[in-house]
Amino acid sequence: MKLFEGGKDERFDREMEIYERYKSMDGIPKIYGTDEYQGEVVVFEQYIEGHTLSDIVSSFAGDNLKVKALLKDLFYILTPIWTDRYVHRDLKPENIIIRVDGKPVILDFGIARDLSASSITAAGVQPGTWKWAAPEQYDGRKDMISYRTDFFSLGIIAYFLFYQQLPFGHTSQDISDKFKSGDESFQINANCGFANFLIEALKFKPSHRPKSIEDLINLI
Amino acid sequence: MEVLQLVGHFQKWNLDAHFQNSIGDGFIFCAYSFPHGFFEVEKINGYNTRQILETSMMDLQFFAKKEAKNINKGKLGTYDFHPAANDDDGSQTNVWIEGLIKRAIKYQIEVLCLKDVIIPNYYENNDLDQFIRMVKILNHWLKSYKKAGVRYFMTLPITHHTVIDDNKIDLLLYHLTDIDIIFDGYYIICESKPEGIQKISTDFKYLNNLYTVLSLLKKQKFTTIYSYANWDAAVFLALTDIDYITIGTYENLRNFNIKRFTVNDDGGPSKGFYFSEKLLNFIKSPLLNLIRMQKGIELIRNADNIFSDVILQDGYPWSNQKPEVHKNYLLAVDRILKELASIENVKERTKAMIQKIDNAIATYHELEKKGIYLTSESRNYHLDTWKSFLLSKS
Repeated sequence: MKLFEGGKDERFDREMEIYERYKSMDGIPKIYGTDEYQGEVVVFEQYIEGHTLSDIVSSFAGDNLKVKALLKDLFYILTPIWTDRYVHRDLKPENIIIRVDGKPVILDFGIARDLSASSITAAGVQPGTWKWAAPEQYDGRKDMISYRTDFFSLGIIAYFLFYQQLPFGHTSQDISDKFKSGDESFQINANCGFANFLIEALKFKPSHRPKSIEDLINLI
Repeated sequence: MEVLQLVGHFQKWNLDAHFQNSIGDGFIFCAYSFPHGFFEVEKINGYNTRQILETSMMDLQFFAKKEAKNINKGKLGTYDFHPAANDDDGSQTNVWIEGLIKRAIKYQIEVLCLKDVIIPNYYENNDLDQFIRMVKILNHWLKSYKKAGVRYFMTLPITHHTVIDDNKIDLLLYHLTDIDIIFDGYYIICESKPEGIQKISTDFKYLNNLYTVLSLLKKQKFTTIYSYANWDAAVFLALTDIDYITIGTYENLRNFNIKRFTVNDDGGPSKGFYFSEKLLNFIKSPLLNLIRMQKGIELIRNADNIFSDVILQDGYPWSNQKPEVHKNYLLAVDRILKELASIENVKERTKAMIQKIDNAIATYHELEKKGIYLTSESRNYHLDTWKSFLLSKS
């Protein structure tokens, strides 16, 4: 059960629209119904049995096959969403549940953006997302938010799972400074089996990240 | 990489250079010099029109409205779908321009039967948002209009104000490389604004940002056509693959009034320039007398170039109106570009270009040892900048 304080708004509608549109997909939770109670909206969302990715991060450490398999599953879920011009904008381990069978489910499309519609969310980094946010989010460049913003977050998540640390710094200030410096380098070693994916997904400028989803998948 | 000759007036020079001397792989005809209906003849200067058009594209030069103030003097007004054919009374709307562009596309496919179509486009007052809006509108339209077997190249005119502005270049590239874009490639025109009467820009921002545009569009799998290039195209080619580079002669293109293609000499018309592969520069023809007197001709002579042999003869009556002057340039630049492009490994290609630059610098020194100090734009004002730029990228 999920509570939307303040009742229905545009943001609520958009999230529900996405859940409805992709309800046939296993990688997105199903909505069984909504209700209003004392001015608040209650959403009955499918309970996903499994672990939040943030709780099992250590099980991915140094495991190429496991990280790559997860990335491929996440791309499989997100590809139709990106193709329809939506962008999640808040991909992070806390928003990914790994089912008992190992398959991921992506949660919380609350700040997802329909690129063909007017924007309803603020620009910039959302609270709690600074670790996974792209440079254009740090810059507040709402006009440059796109599917390639999600590419960047997936790159950070993949790096974090494999190396158990962030590539560009450990505080939001460090990361912001690194982005501003334009220095795209990060520590990587020969053990990493998806280095090319990381290099391309983690380009600071969105236009420098692959144009095509398929091109990025091919680098995994 | 293919070299295309950008054809303006005196098209016979270009046709002869290609069909008789194998210079370049095809043509881009500039609408400024060729009126509507020009190609409705069986032969042009003795060459089969269909054969010419098979390896040709047509640049309808909508951007020329901005580039040249006297643009209406050319042939552009003979195309009823060209902005130049319509007085700008301020009432033109984006819908009106969109309609003209669509007609220009259909003209190339339905009348000229071209397989490679340049989508004309332009923007005024540096209004990039307006340009991006038009790109998106045309991209959307093309999704339903696109014909099988035809490639579509969107014109990307980059003003000097834009190319030296990192943020504007970022914004442009962000939109031009979006997942939704279905153009096969981009027809890139960049305003370089070299200093004074120089032909080559030595502005690092220009070099860096144009390189970014060319390399990024290529990386994102677009076909790239770098048009209106000078011989500095070699610098960009040394760093990134480019699919087509279009080169033109100064005489062919001077009517467009694009500054780097115009030549103004004191005391009458220009007598022309000798382009030397060994110096990677033009030498103003009067300076050849000094070079000859000081026995330096062999230092600058282009090897295996029949046009060079003719124009370096003592007593050659130099004139900018003589075809061999310009064919020497076309052949020399075609060779430089082809030689570089033949090196597949980009790092090796960069090294090869740096070596060419080092050789050219050494040749300038050799000339000086002989008491030959070249002046004005014939001096070495560009080679150190090129070398620094290439080293910064390698």
